[in-house]
Amino acid sequence: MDNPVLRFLRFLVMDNWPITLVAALGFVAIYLLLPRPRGGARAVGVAAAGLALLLTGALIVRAGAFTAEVVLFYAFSGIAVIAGGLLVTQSNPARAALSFALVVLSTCGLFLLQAAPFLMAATTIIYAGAIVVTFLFVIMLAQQEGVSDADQRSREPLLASLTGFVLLGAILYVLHAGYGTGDIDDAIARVRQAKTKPSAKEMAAVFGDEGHNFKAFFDGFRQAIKKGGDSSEARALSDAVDDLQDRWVGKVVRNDDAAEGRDVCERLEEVGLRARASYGILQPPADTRLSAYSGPPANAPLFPPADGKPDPGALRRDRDSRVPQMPHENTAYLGRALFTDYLLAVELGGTLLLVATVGAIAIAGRRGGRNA
Amino acid sequence: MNPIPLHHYLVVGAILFALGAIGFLARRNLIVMFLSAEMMLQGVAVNLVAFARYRGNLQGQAFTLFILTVAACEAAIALALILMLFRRRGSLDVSLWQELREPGQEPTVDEEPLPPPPKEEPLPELTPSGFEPPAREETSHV
Repeated sequence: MDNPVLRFLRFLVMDNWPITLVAALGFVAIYLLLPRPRGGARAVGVAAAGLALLLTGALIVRAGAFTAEVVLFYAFSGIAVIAGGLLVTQSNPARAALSFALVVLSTCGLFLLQAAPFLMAATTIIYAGAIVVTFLFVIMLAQQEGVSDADQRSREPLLASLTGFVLLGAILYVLHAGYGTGDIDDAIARVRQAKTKPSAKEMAAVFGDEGHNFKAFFDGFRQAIKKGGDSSEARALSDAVDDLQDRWVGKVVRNDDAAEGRDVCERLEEVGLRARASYGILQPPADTRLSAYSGPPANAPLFPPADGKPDPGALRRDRDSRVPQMPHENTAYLGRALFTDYLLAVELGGTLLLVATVGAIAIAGRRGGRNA
Repeated sequence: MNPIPLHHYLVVGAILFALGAIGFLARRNLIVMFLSAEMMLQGVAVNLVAFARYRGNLQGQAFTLFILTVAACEAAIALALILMLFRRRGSLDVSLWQELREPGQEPTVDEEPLPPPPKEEPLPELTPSGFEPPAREETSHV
């Protein structure tokens, strides 16, 4: 069993089958749908694409509850991915430009869900307005009659789609290993379920095996916390779970104390939500030079210290989900950040725009027909 | 009430990025190649904004604004270049420029013929107007 090929196959087929399945289906779909002179099995391609999309929604992007946010997220990201697939497989360039506009508009919806209204407006105006219209002008100027090599053929469709989906599979695996919240979500759901029970015995039944110190449940909880990365926060949260396990085994189960059990459950839920919010938080070096106008620095401690003293620099957090809150006046704060921390970059960006304008005029302004 | 975790947004960004990469590699129309590259930028922008949201600061959003600026410059220059290339060869096919390839590379050869252009519907033929139709002779059968 030490054969590396076998180990790799087991890794692909048994350990990570949802990712492998989705990437393989997507590969088949895009390979069959890429334009080619002899029409391939397009119906099979469309079916594989639909199946890949549904499986991605069900297996990889798995949302527990159906709140408004979840429905909007699914709608916007579904439209974005479908329009992206159309852009790649559509043989008519004008339609491809329109599906690009659709990708941009649904991405703007995702921006709005992520508390970035200014970026939503700017992207809609610049991309979906200016850039797509310019594209349509160029398509109109560079129009070709009838069928053409450019639109009816693909270059190396097999290798290109293989490259793309191997890349996608690798990214999805890394994301799933580092940021997948499935385990901690399950643990939080069990703690919440236990909290509603009236007696300590029933709470213990939710947590699973009695008499084994509830080792499996708490070990799973610690594993889920550790999955977000080995930071100081994760270690502190893991220690908190140790204490809570002692309290649970020593007091709640032995004395059948329901009030104490509910308190432990509330603490566990808090720890779980903190761990969930700490997933994917990178810890950049400490000597960041950005001011407070760009928000709290990325290396700020994730949570206020345990002694309960209010920290003026700490993040304001959402009460339920522990996700940091963005400032309400997004545009004002973004403007302040741009004109304090990013002033040099703004000036450079303006210079770049000027140079690009001059360059575009110099390139396109030549007259003289085809042999210019 | 769990919000959408960071992971989900990163997955959407990764899918957009991979689709754009495939489009850039496989398509031969210069305009569609460029649109695919822009879609890759959109995937990256989703990632950056998601990290800004989950970190609670504006660094990711500021970065996305600069991506927007650079994308606008890129669009201006690339479209000017595409127009110039079209004027020289009369086609947007990127394979027409394959003499720019590396010395050891095989040229791309299109083996399958293109399908014939779709036949135009024949126009309906109408009887020419302006002629007096032949009048029937009135005959009585009394």
